[in-house]
Amino acid sequence: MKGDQLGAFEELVLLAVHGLGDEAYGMAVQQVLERETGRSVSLGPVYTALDRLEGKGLVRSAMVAGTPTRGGRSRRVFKLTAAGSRALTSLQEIRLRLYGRARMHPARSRS
Amino acid sequence: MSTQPPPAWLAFARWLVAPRQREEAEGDLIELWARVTERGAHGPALRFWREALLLAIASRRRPHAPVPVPQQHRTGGVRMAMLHELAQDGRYALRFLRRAPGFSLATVSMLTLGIGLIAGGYSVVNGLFLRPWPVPDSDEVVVASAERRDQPAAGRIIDGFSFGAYEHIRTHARAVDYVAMEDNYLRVEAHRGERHSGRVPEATFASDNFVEVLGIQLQQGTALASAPQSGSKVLLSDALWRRRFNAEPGIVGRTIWLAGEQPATVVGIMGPAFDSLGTERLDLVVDLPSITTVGRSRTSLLTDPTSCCLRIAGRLRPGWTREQARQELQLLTAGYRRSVAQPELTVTLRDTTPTGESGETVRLVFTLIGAGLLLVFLLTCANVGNLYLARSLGRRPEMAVRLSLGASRARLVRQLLTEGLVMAALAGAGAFVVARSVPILMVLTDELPASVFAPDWRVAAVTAAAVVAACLLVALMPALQTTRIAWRGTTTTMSARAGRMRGVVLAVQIAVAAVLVLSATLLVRGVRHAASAPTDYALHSTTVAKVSVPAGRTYDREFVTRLARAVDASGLRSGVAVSLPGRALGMGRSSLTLRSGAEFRAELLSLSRDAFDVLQIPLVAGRWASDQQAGEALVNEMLARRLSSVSRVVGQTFTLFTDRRTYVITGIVRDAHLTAFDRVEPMVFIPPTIPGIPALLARSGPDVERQLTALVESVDADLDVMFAPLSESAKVALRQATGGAAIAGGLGLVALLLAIIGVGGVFSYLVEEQRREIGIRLALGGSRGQIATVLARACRGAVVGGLVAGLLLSMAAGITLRSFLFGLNPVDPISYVAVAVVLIASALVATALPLRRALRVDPAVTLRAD
Repeated sequence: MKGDQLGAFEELVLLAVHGLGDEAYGMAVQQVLERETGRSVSLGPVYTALDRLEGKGLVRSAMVAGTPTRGGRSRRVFKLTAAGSRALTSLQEIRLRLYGRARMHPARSRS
Repeated sequence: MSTQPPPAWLAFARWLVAPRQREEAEGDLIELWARVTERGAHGPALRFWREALLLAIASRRRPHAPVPVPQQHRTGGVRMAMLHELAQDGRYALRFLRRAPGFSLATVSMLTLGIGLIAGGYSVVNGLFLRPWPVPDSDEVVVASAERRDQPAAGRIIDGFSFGAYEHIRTHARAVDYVAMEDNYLRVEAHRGERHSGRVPEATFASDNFVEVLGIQLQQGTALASAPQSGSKVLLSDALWRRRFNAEPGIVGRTIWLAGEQPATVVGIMGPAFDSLGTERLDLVVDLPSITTVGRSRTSLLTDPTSCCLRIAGRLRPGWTREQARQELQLLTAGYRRSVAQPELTVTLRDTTPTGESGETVRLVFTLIGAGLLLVFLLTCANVGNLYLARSLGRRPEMAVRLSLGASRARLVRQLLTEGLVMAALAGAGAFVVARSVPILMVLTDELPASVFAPDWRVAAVTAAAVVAACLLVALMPALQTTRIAWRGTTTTMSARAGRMRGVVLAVQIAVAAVLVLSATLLVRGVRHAASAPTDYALHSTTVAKVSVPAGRTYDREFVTRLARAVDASGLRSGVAVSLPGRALGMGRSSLTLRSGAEFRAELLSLSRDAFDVLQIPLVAGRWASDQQAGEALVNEMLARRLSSVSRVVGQTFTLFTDRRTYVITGIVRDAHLTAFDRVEPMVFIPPTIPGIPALLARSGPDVERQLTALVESVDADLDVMFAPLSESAKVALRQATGGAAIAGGLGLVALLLAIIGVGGVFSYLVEEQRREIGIRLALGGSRGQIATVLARACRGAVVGGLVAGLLLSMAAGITLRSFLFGLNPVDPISYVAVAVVLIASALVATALPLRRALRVDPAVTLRAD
């Protein structure tokens, strides 16, 4: 899908990874998304998005030791790459510009 | 609930996920489970499986593998190939079913019936016996019960925890946090004096720690203990809040009215998930001290050390086992009972599933119904199996081609089994819908809370098991049979074997139908036998006038005595009886303690002197008990025989458990079947000086209703009177048995229909198979009569064998059913003959149509077809 472009969900996942810093693994990302969007988010789609982002070179992952809450199972922690950071910055700029234009031309009601 | 998902679930989820992501996914699922259960949200299982499936799909789709794991990768590949083949088989099976819509419709609908009966029946059993209380971590919650075992000869004596005992236990227990409960029906109104029709809410008066200990979630307000208000405090269930108060948002803090008169403050509304404790509905929770002012008069409950019996439950504290908690409770109870000079109690602690509460009879009834459902299920599978066998035998050429092209026999068997599984799974989905309608049916017929019967994972598991069982029963034998024939490349010798197998299946069907139909016949005849049995008292010539008081007043002793006096003074030949709600006569079981300490169980009846005359029960020894002079009682011959083993009877004094008063036995009356149809129980009769629902008994006559109404109105114009013949109450008592007989009758009818379809199916297949032979016989000059005889002979063995086996098995069934037959002989010859005739007639009806077709065979056409 969308080639090298970012989908809306992928963008949210990328932002969540960025926000979580060193603690960005699948479950944590899912939790942040559920909390911030107020919608039920499943792990499957989160992992699919993370894998796509990794495929596009926007994040990289490494296995780290597990915690007692996971029964000791290891987890894969994701980190933004330089390309990921650039992608976020450019997306933010695009959005800001678009929002700016939207304010200049308020929607007119039809008569 | 545990903080980790069940290991078997984890293992299965692990298997689903692609190897390289397994550990990660497993960790996520463990974390997710802990998070969901910590929030107290219901349905972690559903969430777990949804996430596991989505993770599995995502893992199989991932575009690249960060860590290559060659060995596991290969096993993953084999698994994928297997899944692929299974999917292929599934698609093929669906195509096969689509090509034969008539066959598919018949088999799937029959299987839906069979599996639906299992799923529906199990929903009921699950609700009544297996489902724990709907509270978080219900496996930590224990229910305490106590009984007196000091005199085993006297049977179970009613005794239990008093409020004092509860206080003592709650203060000193270290293993468990205990709550005390007492249930009662309680009218609830938004405004004083309002009157509601419909179901009276069921209240639980509970100690103030109820919400905290059981972990009940509140959607509004606070728990009983933390509410600042004084006076009665109430927690409403979600259902009652919606039904009675139209989900009014500002209800918390408002005053509502209990039992018409008592103000109470609503302090909270419970979550919608919490609407019952076991099979008992819970509409509202009221603080325990209010029981002394609200509803039934139980003023002494909190102060009398011998009062009985509070329900006690609790939650185990961490680190304690149920056995340790039981030992502690035993010690605390013993200590308290010694301090108030009461006999020792034996306590037990059990889990919150209702299994322990139901009596032997209820369990036997459900076992029998379960056995009936299982038989119908087997019958359905046998029927569908026969149809499927006929159909798959027709596919022998196809199987032979596949084998010669290199398919293994195992592969073909798997394909045919998949077809069976697809049919059974379609039926299973329909069956689950049937199970979902059980709550609606149960609500229509009974007062039990609907949620108890809602299908949960257990029902889903049983339905799935039934689907697999149906698949194996229906498809395994035909699959083996068909592929073996094709494999060996011969058809003639194998056809005989297939014919024999069909014969056996048919015989089993007929035997099962015979057992079910005969059990139903016996039960129906048992009920009729009970209803028409000659009675040893005036059951059919007595009219009962039940007196009811207006709302807000109680049936106290003073009221009953006043009514009895008025009847006495009126000069009418009418007796007074006091009984429990829902009973015509009788106050239920009680126990008598003689001065020597010996205890006896007996049915307690409260009848005036004249009531014995109306009921035509004569005195056989001693003198009548006086209605005026308190403390005199009568016993029946049955109880007298038991008492005489330890002492003389007339003149003996005893203490009655029900009212704790002392009585002297003045006489013995003749035995009568007053409380049961099939046996005379030991009975003790006391004059109507006990609180309860009073009724006037009179000989039925043209003017009796008017006279009794006038009499009751002369006592109090506000009283209501309801008339019914006494025999009507006997019919009510028989209602349960009639219900049982109706269920058995329904199952019997289904079994009979299935047997007819089975016999018809087998016979028409036979006719189809022998069409050519019939043609040749006719061409050679055989008469149609001879043809009919030959054909009938082919089925005769199976039908007769099945019938004989069925009737023999029915004798065993009849003996098991003995306690529900009200004295009817379990080997009742009329029932046996009738069932044999009905089954033979059904077999004839089933064979008539195919036979007609066989006799219409045109020899010329058949021979030309060759």
